[in-house]
Amino acid sequence: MSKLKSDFFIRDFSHIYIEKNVIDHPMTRDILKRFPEAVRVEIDHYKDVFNRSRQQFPVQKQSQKLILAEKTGEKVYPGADVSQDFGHEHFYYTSSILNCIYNCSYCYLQGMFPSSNIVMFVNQEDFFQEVDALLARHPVYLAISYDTDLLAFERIAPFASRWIEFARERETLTIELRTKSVNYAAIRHFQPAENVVLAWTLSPDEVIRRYEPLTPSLDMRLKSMKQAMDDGWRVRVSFDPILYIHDWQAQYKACVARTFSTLPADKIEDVSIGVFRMARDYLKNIRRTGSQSDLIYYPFECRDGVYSYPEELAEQMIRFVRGEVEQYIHPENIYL
Amino acid sequence: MLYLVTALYNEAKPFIDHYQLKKVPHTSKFQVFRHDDMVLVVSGSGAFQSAVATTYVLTRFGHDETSNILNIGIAGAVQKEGPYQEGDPVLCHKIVHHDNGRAYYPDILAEHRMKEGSVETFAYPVGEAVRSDVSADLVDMEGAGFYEAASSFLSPHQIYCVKIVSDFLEPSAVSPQKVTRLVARTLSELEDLIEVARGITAIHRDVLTEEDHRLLKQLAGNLKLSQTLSHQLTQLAKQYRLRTGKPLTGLLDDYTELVIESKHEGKICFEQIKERLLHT
Repeated sequence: MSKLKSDFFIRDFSHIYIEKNVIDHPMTRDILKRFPEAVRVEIDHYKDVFNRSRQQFPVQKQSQKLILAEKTGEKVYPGADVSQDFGHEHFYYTSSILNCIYNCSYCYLQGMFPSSNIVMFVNQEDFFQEVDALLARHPVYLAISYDTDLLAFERIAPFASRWIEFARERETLTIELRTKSVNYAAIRHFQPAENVVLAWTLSPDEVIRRYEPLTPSLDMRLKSMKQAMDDGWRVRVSFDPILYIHDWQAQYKACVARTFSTLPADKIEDVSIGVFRMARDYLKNIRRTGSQSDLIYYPFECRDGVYSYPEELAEQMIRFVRGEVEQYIHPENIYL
Repeated sequence: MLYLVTALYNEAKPFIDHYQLKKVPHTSKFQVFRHDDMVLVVSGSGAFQSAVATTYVLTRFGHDETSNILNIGIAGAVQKEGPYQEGDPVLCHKIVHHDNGRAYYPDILAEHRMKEGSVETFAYPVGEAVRSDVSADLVDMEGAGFYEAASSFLSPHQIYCVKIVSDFLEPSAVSPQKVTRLVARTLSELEDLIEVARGITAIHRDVLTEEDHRLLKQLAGNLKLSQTLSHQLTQLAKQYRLRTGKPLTGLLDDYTELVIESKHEGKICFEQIKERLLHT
């Protein structure tokens, strides 16, 4: 009998690559306890594995490995132009984890990183130290879950929990935890923190089915959001990226309506809206490594080094979704 | 194409017999054997020899995203009381070049039923006297050279290094007959690995078929498309293929016989094709 596709690949996290200098780090030991069967491979530096040439991101995605490492050098970066700063002057982002367990077709990580293996920087204390140094100069708005989905990993490594506890003691720090996960239960035991925003990315079910493999359904995400809001957390809604799919107007209209029939609009922190956009080099890399998603081969237009839909279409899509959202949310609380 | 690289003829013999490989005449100083899409090269001993032979077959017979290459050979295990027994095939997840300390990591994506371990490549047969110099589980004389060469052409998931435990740092005790016997005993595991390796690379082959590429080339020529528009046409075709799962033939047949008078006319046709590929 011929084998199925799933028979070819060894399970995710079958191998854990560990930098020699973090073998005895407490976070390393905790993570390893969760994978007693994994093959452990000692390495000198995470880039010896992560940055090898000719890696195939989509192939590796079928059997992701874990790399435990120490982050050296800069750990907190100024926010990128394509990211929404929500009106904050001192907008930064940081990445305790590189890469994600989800496999969204439109994700820029496919083009940004040479590998789809997951790197966890276990020296979180050094990240905290760098944020404290920034806080000594000015308030900080920090996105902690851009190059990954931190909450989705919370059962493996409690980075999000530790960031929340860290933020709670620092009034001038605001952190945003962006997710598609329904793993809210992993942080539910905390008292809500005033300066922590939980941001869920929402998409129509048709988009989730076709372009967000492995992610929870819209209803599941809404249920988690509702629970978080009921518990008193600040919750942000993100309709981003909006995709040009067949019947997109009906799809997004239904998605927005379902969102605000589940969530109390007056208690939502704010809403961000954006269409698909990606840095030119990232999209080129994704096409080169043979993405199996039709979305990636759409004839996007390049403006100022960023690929997106033709300007007129992009504006039409934003205008439409904004119009739908404005039926529930004050325009001041909508960010484009 | 599936490539096998062995150092010794005695390591190659079980594969030559099992897969009915025939000697390819007049190739080079290396003995090369082939049957259909399987090519085996006997490199001779040493990392340098293995690198040259690997480079030779990959350039002579070609490679693409569906290719796989395996280095198969005997190795010494460092620990006699360790996890490895004589005759065990070991899939290497780390290959260290003893001379320069460089380490290589093949992707282990394939489901397999072998033991795993690390191998360290030395320039000489490793005996008991140098045990303290070894940092890996196994020792050999080719792995690092093979990997370095193969990784110049192929992705880490297309490269496999399988070592069969022949001794415990007593290389002189391994006769040529024993080598053949040990390799022959692992054929079943290796056959399974080859099947899985082929399965993995087959999944991730080009979105477009050769027939699609031929059609697109013909269209680009007929419509006098610039290089940029030809490239866009390929992207659009991929988008159509993945979105609908349908072949290009049929959808674009009416453009294959078209003869146009000017580039301007070609651009008009391109826009029509674009519309069809996006919205059909």
